[in-house]
Amino acid sequence: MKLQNTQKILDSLKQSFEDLKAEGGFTEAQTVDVRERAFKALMAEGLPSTRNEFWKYTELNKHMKQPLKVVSSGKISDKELEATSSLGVNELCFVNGILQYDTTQLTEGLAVKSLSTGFSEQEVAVESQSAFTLINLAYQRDRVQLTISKGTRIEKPLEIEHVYTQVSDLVEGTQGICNTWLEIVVEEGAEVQLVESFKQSSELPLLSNNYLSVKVAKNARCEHLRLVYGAENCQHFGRGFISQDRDSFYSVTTMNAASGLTRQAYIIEQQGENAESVCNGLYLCDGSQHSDHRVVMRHLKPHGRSRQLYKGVLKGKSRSVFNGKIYIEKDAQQIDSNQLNNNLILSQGAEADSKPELEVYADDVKANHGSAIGRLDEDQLFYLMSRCLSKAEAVQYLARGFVRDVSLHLQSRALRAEAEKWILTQFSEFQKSIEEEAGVKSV
Amino acid sequence: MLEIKDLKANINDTSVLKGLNLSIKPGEVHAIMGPNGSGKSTLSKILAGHPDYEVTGGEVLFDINFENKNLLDLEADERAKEGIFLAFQYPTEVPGITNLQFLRASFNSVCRHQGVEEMSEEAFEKFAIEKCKIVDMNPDYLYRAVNEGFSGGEKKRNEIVQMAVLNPRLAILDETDSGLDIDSLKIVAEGVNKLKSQDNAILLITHYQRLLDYIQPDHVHVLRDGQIVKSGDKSLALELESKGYDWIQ
Repeated sequence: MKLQNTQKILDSLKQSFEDLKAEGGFTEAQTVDVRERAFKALMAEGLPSTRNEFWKYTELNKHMKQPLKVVSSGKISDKELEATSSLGVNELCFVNGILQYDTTQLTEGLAVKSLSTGFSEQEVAVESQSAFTLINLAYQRDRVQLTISKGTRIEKPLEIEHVYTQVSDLVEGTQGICNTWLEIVVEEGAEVQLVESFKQSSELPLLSNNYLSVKVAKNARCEHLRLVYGAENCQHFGRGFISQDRDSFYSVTTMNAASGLTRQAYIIEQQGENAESVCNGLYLCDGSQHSDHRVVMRHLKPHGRSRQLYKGVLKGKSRSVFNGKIYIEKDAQQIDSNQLNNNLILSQGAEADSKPELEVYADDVKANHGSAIGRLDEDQLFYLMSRCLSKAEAVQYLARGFVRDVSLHLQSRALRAEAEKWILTQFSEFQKSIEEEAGVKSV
Repeated sequence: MLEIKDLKANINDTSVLKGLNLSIKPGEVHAIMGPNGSGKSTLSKILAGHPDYEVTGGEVLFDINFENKNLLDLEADERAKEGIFLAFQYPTEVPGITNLQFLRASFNSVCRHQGVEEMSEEAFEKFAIEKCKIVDMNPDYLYRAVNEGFSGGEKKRNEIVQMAVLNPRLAILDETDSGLDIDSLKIVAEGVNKLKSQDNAILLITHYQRLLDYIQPDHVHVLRDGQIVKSGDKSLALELESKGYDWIQ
């Protein structure tokens, strides 16, 4: 009985697969085999339940209730285009998971191409992929590769925007699912900053299912900011597979708020010496929202450095999960790695689960981890209120202060400005929610 | 301006104020002195609206738009917007918010309350830098997180900068002098003197007579066991300094 919702979802995915096949939605002959294999594996495996250790604290059955329909149209009307984004130079726009190639203009050293006719490593090992990557593989329409070519240095951040538009064939009571596949290759000595935003809307209940792979070559640098502008009736899923060669730098910061369910996982692998990785995050949860972040930091070669900093603010009956792992191979000596997860709980009903893991086989390394869960400091609250700030305003300020170091850790000033903008908008929504609650209570 | 009538209060079911009376008029400086545990800091926190204290009797009337209102009916932020200011004995550190952001949020909150236009970021920055001069505070502190990593003296100066920005009608200075070296004490006291006017009033809460050498009080009160047991002029403070508190019964 417990698997009722997820079974319903699986059935709806099956229906979608058959519909798409009948409509001729899958055209590229080379990928047919991969699709079929992924689909079969998905049907055999099913969606993960809490019996799966990786999903222990996130019960899909509770958060996903509606049958899914794979969104196949990715066109955007001129009117919508005007409203959603300014398509300038070095701005990629994905509509319902499909890149708009015809409006993409890139400067020298940058290129995008569709991989729909080729194979990637993940496809070769289809059967070992997790359920949501299988969905990405089975329903793939376009796989996009973005290349930053050797030695290219991009001054201004490259923008990657994901928008979702009203889909006409979405019937009442079903939820759309948009699948996105993005592979980023940062070639030797290249340097780039990326701002990626996911713009959900409450008018369109959907699940955005994002596959990301980043390959950072020798001596290359990439700083990546990912902002989820969520909506209560939407879900955001993402998996990121990052591999780094020697002397490279990769930093990813994920900020999410307001989605009903968020699940983001990263596996970062240092395959070369002297690599540096940063994996930071910030989540803001209210109501019955649920946010689940996991990080696996794999140090395979010596002299690597890694940092993980995740901070969360929780209110209402929301829940968060953080599961971070540091893995250090036997020969990977002189590693300096640390991990920290701090949570601020603003109401009785909210809950944060934090699970740090260390798996270390080398003997000359530094690996620290810590996590803390705390409540608002009453003295600070009184101090701010005695300086004319209302209680909701004071809470908002303190919560913003609590998470601020996540944005301060961004090296690029432009990315920091984007992060601060996100924080400001999301936290002012948060303040409104506190005010509304206070209003209800006083009536 | 302020009329405290038979004020009684508890904290954790222990009675700390036991019928306190005090009347303050505009332009006056009052000093409250008393031994440790006499209820001095309790009084300041109750006036500012600290939620930990339970008022069990009496009232605190405050003149709001020529009408006496019971201050105790208002939340801490509402009292502050009406012109009550508490300079904290131990100012709280607030990480992640710069002093400037904090001051501007406070200031604009009062603007909204009074129905006047809020100040822009640029204009406010200039205004705040000007206010720092009152206590000779380096304007660099405006760009640091509120009180974070400030020394004791810097925190106290920062309180007076906040007072200068908010321009309160009644400023309660809770042991603003404690822990200050003589040079800092002089600077802080001069700052307070510059902010004093015929329209506002100051309530000094202190342990030591030393502060009163630099800020001249019109009235001195002795608080003991939750009540004011003696009132007088400045000479009372000197008498306390030489004789201690024990002679007052």
